[in-house]
Amino acid sequence: MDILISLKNIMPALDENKELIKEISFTVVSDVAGDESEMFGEMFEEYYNKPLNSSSKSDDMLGFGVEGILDISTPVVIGMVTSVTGFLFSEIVKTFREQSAEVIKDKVKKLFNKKTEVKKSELPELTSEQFAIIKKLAKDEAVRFGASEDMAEKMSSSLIGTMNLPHT
Amino acid sequence: MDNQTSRDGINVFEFPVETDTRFLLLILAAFFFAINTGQNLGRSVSVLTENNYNAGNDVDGDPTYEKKDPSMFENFDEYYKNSRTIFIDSLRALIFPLIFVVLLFFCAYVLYRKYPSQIIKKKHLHELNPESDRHFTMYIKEITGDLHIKNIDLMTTRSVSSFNAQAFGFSSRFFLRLDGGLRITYRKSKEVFRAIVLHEFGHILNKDIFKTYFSQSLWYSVILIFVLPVFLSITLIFASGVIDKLTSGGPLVGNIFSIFFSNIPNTLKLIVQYFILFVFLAYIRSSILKTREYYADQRAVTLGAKEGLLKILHSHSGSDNVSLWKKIRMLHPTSRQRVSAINNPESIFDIKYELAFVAGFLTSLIINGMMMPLIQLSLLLSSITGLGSIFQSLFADKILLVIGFLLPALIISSTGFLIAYLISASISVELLKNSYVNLYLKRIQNYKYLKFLIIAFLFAFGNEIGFLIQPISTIIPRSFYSVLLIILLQGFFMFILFLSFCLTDSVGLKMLAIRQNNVSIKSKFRTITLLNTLVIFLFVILIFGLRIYIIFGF
Repeated sequence: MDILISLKNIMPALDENKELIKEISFTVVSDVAGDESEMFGEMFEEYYNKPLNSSSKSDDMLGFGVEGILDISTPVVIGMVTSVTGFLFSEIVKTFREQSAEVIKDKVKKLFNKKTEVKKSELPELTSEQFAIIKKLAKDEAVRFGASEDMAEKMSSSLIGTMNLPHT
Repeated sequence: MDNQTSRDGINVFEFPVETDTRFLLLILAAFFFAINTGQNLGRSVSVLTENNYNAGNDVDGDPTYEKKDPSMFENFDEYYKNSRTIFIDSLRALIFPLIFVVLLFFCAYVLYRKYPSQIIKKKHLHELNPESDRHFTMYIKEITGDLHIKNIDLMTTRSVSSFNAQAFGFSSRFFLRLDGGLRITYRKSKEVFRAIVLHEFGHILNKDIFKTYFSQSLWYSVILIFVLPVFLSITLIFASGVIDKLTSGGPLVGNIFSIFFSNIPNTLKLIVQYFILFVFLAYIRSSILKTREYYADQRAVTLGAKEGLLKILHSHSGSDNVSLWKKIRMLHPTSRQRVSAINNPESIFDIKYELAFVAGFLTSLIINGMMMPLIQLSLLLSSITGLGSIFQSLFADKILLVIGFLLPALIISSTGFLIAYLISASISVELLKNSYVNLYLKRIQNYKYLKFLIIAFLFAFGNEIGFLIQPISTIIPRSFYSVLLIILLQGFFMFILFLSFCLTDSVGLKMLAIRQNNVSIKSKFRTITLLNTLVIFLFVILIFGLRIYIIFGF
C-alpha cells in the first residue's frame, strides 16, 4: 500500500472536523468493506493522528518477511473523505464569504447528514460542475491512496451516496 | 508416477536438514575465531610494530621458547626441567583461550537471554489481552492447541498500522509477536492470517529459535569482546607508534618511510580484513536464515496453509532485482522466490554453489582457531611423560604413554573427524539429496559430475580465501614455494573431495533405493554421512598435516 503520508498534513485546518470525517468515513467503510467496520475506531485514530507508514521494516529475524497487509480500505477512505470535505469547505467558503466558520461547518455537516430531514434551502448550492468535480476528486483520491480503479469507483459512489445533494 | 504426484510426494522434512550443520559451522567458527583473536591479542600488536613479523617462528607468540630434541638432553634432570618448562608454558598458553571461551559463552548467554526483552522493548510489544479481542485470541489458541505448542506468550502492538509477525524466545518459553494490524488481517481473511501464524509456528516446530538467536548472540559477543578491543588497541598502538616515530629526534626520513610503508599498510590491511570478514559473515548468516524461511513456509504448507501463503506472497511479489548490499542484509527470500519454493518444494534441494564456498570459508576459521590450542594441548600432554618419568614404574609408563601420545593423537583425530563431518553433513548430503530428488522425480541431471567438481573447487577456494582473509592467520603461505605447494595441496584436496562426492552419490543412491520399511530416509542419510565422513577424515588429517609442514617448513 502506497499510503505514506499523514492525512493530517493534507488538511491541518480541518482538524476540528475530525468527528465529521470520522462519521462520513465510517459510513463509507461500512458500505464498501464491512469486515473493517468492527475495528474502524482503532484504525481511524491510528491513521488520522499519525503518519501512515507501511514501510516499517518487515525483514525481522524469524519474522514473516512481508507485512500481512491485505487491501485495507479504511485508510483509503479516510484519505478520500478528508480531501473531499476539504474541497467542499473551500467551495462553500467561496460562496458564503461573509458567513462565520460555524455556519459553513454546519452546512457541510448537513450535506452529509441523511438521517435528519434537511430543508433544501439549508443546504449549500452546488453546481453540476462542482458535483462532477467532487465525484472525480473522490475517485482520484481513492486511487492516490492505493485503491484499485474498481474499488475507487465503489468508494466514491458510496461517498456521493451519503450526501444530501441539492439538485440545482 | 506423474510429475504432479511426484511433486506432491516430496516432503522436505523427511530429509536431514543441512542448515543445522551450517548453524553448527557458524557457531564453531565464532568459537574458534574468538580463541584465535583472544590468544593473539599480543600478536596483533606485534603485527603493527614489527616489519618482518613471522608467525611461524614461535609457539603462541612466545619468542623465547626453544624447541629441543629430547635426545640432546645430557641427563634426566635436564629432561625433567625441560618438560616442566613446556608444561608450564603450554598451560599458560591454554589458560588464556580457555578464559576467553568462558567469557565468550557467558556473554553470548547473557545476550541470548536478553534478546526477547530487547525485541519487546524495541517493538513496543505487550501481552495480548484475551478480553480485548476474544475471537482473535481464541483462534490463535486453537491453532497452538492443534499443534501441541505449549509455553507460548502472544505479544502484540497497540498500533494497528503494522502487520508483522515474529517468533522469538527460548526453547522453554516462546513468544509470538502478532502486530495489531494482523487483527484486521484476521477479520479480512482468516486464510491469510492462519498462513502467517503457521509460518511463525513453523519456525518454532523446526527448532529455529535457539539456533538463530544463539548464533546471533555468539557473533555479537565475538565483536563485543574481541573485535572491538583489538580494533581499539590497533588504533591506539598505531597512533602511539606514529607519534613516537615523529617525536623521537624529529621526523627522520627512515621513520616517515616506516610509517607509510609499514604502520599504515598493516593497519589498513587489518581493517580491510575485518571488514571483508564481517561482510562475509553477514552474508552467510542471511543465507542460512533465508533457507530457514523456506523451511518455515514448507512447514506451514504441510499444515494446510499453502493457499493463504500464496495469496499474501503474491500480493507482495515485486521485483527480484535487489542491490548486492541489500541481498547481503536480507533475512528473507523475495516473495517470488518463496512462491516458487512453495510450488516446487524440491527446489530447496537444488545445488547451491555458494554453500560449498561458505563451508570452506567457515572451516578455515575453525582450523585456524583450533591449530594453536591443539599444538599447546598436545605439548602439554606430551610434557607429562617427562614430568611423570620420576615414578619409574611399568604401570606409570603405560598411563604416561596414554596421556602423552595416545591422548594427543585422539584429540587431533577427533578434530579432524569434526572437520570431515562438517564437510560431509553440509556439502555431501546436499549433493546426495539433490541426486535423490532428481531420481525420484525422474529428472535428467545434466553435467552431474562437473557440478561435483565445481563444488569441490569452491570448497577449496573458500577455504583458502578464509585463511587469507582472517586478520590473524597463522597458516597462510609466506614464501613463493609454499604458495605453490599450498595450491597443489588444495588441488589435491579438491580432487579427494570430488571423489568422495562421487562415491557418496553412487553408494548413497543405492542405499536409498533399498526398501526397508522400518528404516527412515533420515537414518539412511545418517549412515551415509558417517561413511562419507570417514572417507574425508583420512585425507583431512593428511592434508592439514601437510599444510602445517609446508607453512612452517618452507
